Amino acid sequence: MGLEIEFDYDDTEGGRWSAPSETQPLRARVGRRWNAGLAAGNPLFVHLGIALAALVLGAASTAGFTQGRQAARDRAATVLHLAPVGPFVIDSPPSPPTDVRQLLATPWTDAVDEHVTLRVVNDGPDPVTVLGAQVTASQFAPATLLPAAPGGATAATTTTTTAPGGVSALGGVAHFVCGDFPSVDPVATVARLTVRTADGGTRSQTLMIDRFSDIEEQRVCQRMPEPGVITSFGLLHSKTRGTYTVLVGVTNRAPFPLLVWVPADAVTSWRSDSGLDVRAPAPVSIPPRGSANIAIPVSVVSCALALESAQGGYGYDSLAFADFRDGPHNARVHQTEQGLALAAPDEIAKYCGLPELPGIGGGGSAG
Amino acid sequence: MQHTGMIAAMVAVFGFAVGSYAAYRVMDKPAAPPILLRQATEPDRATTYNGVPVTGGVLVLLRNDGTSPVKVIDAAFSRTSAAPPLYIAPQSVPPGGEVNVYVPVPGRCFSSGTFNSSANAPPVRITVGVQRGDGSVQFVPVEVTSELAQIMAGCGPTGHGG
Repeated sequence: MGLEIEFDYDDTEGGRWSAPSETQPLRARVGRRWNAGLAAGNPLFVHLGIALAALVLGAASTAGFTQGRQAARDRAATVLHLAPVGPFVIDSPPSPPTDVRQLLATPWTDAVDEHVTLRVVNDGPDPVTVLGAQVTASQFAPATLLPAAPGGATAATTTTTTAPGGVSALGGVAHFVCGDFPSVDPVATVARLTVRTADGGTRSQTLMIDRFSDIEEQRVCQRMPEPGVITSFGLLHSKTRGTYTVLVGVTNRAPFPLLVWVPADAVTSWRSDSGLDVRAPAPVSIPPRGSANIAIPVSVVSCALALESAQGGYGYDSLAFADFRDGPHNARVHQTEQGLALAAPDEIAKYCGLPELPGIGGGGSAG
Repeated sequence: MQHTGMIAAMVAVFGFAVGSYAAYRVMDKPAAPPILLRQATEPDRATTYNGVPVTGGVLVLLRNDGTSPVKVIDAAFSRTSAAPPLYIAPQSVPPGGEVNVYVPVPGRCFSSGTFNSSANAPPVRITVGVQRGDGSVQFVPVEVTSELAQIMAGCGPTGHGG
């Protein structure tokens, strides 16, 4: 801080200008003015300083307010998505026994409880604690999943905070009733998650797991052994060449009557792709835990296709099973099918001859 | 000097207003959210496309887990390897939307009408070229499991296995 006092002298001497005043350089005067302008006591400087301080203060306070508001928003955010690897896994039931005796000795059931694992990743900016989830699908009853400990055990008390980018695992048991799901348009598998956010609040988020419930859910029921078991398979020769009858013995393991028939699409496939005319018998009803024999007449209509089919061991889903109580033409019936090889190689070879080799004529009369 | 205080106060108010507005404009710009592409839980019906033997492949469904729409440009296993190219139709994918990537599988990976695959396969990583808005193309890694990983483990990307 400095104070400059400028004295004005009367440089005139009797009305005449003194020599020094006349010779004062312009540069000196400008410099003096300039120095006065730069002095800290200049009001312009004071105003500028205040403005700058206000700018900084305004910027800082607004930035702090904005950051604080964003932080508050972040603490309440739940951004959960399905984990990149293994998002939804349902344990598979054990493979059904392949031996017919073992299969018949196994009690039939259409219900099974399977362990379900759901993994979600925290894509939010702050840690969250996943408290649990309710998973709904068309194939199983709503399943309650709880946080899974690293060892795999699940409990309501097992809560672990998941950092941003981290993965939370939830586990539980889903109760499947395989014959129970309606054959309507598939419903998505959806998880409703309960999450505690960083601000201490509890929030919900819904995640769609599988739009068609196709992947994991149907695999369970596909591995459940069917109520109908094919216990015998034989051929009945006919005097007419190129014609034979397949005899199939079927045992019903279920406590309800079982309806067995040859589906129309299997008849079509055998004819168009395998050259065999399969005459579907009338549907057969098998009493609970009873057995029945089904006779399926077969005729060769195309030797080329029939030989190829016999050699390749083609087997379409040729037998269909359903609960007799549902009726044969119920759209909501739970129908299962089993493959059956109706192309008898010996019968076809007897009728058609050897397979046609390159450059060698062959084939029977029907080809 | 009487006016100096008033002017200073006005300047301060003006400066605070300008500073606040400038800071608001600068700070309130939301940070660009990350681009999150992940494999979706795919429906059975869109998994494979093997209508023509030895020219088949696998469809891998990807999901945009980010908060902004992205445009997928292309995809590849690795830009320096001899792995087969992946095909993706350039399109804009909204948040939560899905897009298919077609992975051709060499004919030698087919046998008896199915792919040679290996169970319990580790995930494979593909890189997807993604553009957000008018920004530059970013290459986002995506971990892929399920059937494609099993084929890769059982037959390998070049069809020689491993």
